[in-house]
Amino acid sequence: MSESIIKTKGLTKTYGKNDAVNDFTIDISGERIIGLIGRNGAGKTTLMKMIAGQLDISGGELEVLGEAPMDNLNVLNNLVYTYHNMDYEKARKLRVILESYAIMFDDFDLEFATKLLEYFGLNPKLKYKQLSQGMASIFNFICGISCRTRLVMLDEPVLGMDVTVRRAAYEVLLREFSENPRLFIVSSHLLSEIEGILSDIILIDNGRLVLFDNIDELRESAYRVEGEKDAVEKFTAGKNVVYTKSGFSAEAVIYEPLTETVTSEAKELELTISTVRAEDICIYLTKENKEGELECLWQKAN
Amino acid sequence: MRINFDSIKPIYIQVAEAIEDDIVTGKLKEGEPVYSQLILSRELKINPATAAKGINQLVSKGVLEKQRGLSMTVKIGAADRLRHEQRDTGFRKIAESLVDTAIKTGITKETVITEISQLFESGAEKAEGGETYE
Repeated sequence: MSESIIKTKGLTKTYGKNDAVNDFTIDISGERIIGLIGRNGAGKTTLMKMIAGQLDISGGELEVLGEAPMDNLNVLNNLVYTYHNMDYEKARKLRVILESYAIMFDDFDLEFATKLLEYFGLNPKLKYKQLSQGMASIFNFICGISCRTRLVMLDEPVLGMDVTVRRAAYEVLLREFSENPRLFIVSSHLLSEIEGILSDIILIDNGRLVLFDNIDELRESAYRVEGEKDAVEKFTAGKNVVYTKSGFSAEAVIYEPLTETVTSEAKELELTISTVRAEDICIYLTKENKEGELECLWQKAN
Repeated sequence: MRINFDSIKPIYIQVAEAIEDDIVTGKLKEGEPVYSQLILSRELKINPATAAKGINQLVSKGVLEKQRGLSMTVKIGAADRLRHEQRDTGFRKIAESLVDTAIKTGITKETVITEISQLFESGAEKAEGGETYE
C-alpha cells in the first residue's frame, strides 16, 4: 500500500443545522485520476475546500499528506484546488496571475502554463474579468494542472466550456497525468464524458460517501433486467433493486454483481439482461424514486 | 483501434478485444511486442490503469506474455487460437441472432438456408475472382 494522500474519519461539516458533509470516511492514495461525482449540493465543493484547508471542519478527522491541512504550509504547498469563481483580483492580467502561482508554488511550471494558454487560445494580456465563463474555466484548469503538486483538485473544471474545448481539456489532463503522474481529483456532473480518463469514482450524496470504487468494477456492480411485469417482479423479489420502470415492458436495475445463477434464473423467466452505464448507476444510487411525480406537475389542484 | 465510450461494454474489455483484433489480422505479430500501456492510453485517450487492465486480461487469457525484463509480447500460437475462438463464439452469436430475427419475423428455415447459400456462392465467386486477379 502506498502512503495515504487524503485520509478522513467521520469527517463532518455543518452549516447551521445542515450537514454539508456527513460522517465521511475515506482513504485515498496513489497516483490516479479520480472523479468526484454527485448531484448539486451533494457536498463535493465543501469536501474539496476542507481538504484544501480553505474551510474549517466541524467534526471527525482529516489528514492530507499526513497532517491537518488548515493553515499548514507543509500541506498547502503540496496541493492545489481550483474552482469556477476563483477570487483573483479581477483587473489582473492572466500572465500576472500565472506569475503569482509560480511564486506561491515551488512546483508550478510557468513555461508549461504559458504554452497551455497559447494552446487554448487565451491571450496572456487579457484581464481575468474580461473572460467569459468558459474561458475563465480554461484558465483555472491551466493554473491547476500546471501545479505539479502531489494533489491537484479541479472543481467542475469544464463548467461553461464548449464541447470542443472540453475534449481538449480531458486530453491535456490525461496526457499530463501520464507525463507527470500524481493524484488528480476532478469533480463533475458529466460522468459519461470523463469516465474514459478516470480510474476511480467517489460518489457522494447528501454529504455522505455512497461509494469509492474502481470504474470498471463499478460498471460490473449492477445489471438491468427487462421483460414481462410479473416476471420482473418475481425476479427482483429479495434483490437489491435501485430502479424500476414499467411501460411497454417492465425493467429493473439490480445493484448486485451478475452471477451465473442469476443469469439462468433470468433466462427461465424470459428476461433480458443488460449492463448499466456507470453514469446511470450513479444516478440510481443518488436519487429518490420519483416515478409518477412528473405527471403530478401538470395536474391542476381543484 | 477505437474505443466506443457510449458502449456499455467496459473500456478495458474493448481494449483487450481491439488488441485481439490486431493479432488476428496480423497487425501485431506473434513474438513481437504489443502496444505499451502508455501508448494505448495516449492513442485511445483512456486512463493508463484501464489500458493496463485490458493488457492484463490478455495475459491471464494466455494471449500475451511478459518477457523477462522486456515488454509484453504476443504469445506464439495466439493468432490461431483467437481465430478459432472468434470463429466459434463470434459465429455462434451471429447465427443465434440470425435465427432469432428469422423466427420473430416469420422467415422460414428454408428461406434462411437458401439466402445463406446464395451469399456463400457470391462470396466464393468474389474470393476466386480476387485470387485470379492476383
